[in-house]
Amino acid sequence: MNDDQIQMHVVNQSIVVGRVRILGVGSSSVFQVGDTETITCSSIFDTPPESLIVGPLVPFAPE
Amino acid sequence: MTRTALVAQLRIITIEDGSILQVGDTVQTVPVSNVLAVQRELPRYAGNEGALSAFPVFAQEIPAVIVKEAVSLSIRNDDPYIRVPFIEITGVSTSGIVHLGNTGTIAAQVRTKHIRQMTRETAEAQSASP
Repeated sequence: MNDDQIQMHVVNQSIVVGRVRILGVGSSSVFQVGDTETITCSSIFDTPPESLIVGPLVPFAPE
Repeated sequence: MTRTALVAQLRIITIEDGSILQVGDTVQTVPVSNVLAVQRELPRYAGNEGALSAFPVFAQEIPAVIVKEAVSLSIRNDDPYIRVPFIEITGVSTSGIVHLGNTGTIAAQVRTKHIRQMTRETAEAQSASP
């Protein structure tokens, strides 16, 4: 076996969560009751100074 | 051996904008949302505007996480159940996921462009005030 390899052993014993209250699960977030192998959540939020447009209202490019 | 989620009661008020409520196992969950969030001082919207191609944020590449370490993982589940008697969630939004059960891969992605448009008079008044 490779010496550099990380050995990870997990023992899941009994778990009981009596009550869960959540206000919001938003923008690429996860709430899970269960097991998973891989989670990748990415979020880009762009609001730079030039996002504030001052002047006459000009429509954006049409679809 | 896989574990089973035991949920007696689940209350959710709203699920919106490409979000997922999943009861049961999945192999892959990949929600994607592109959001153009516009606030206008004057609520005037042309019906056809909002082409996402005009904004680079919707096209730019998201760097992938590179796993360099080799990990040998072994899991032993002594208790075959995860018990959560009561869950209450007010809102799930914009590629949010509520998942009861097991999954292999979750890959959620959100791109948001936030723009505010104001008339000149209001902007000057705001910058003048302390």
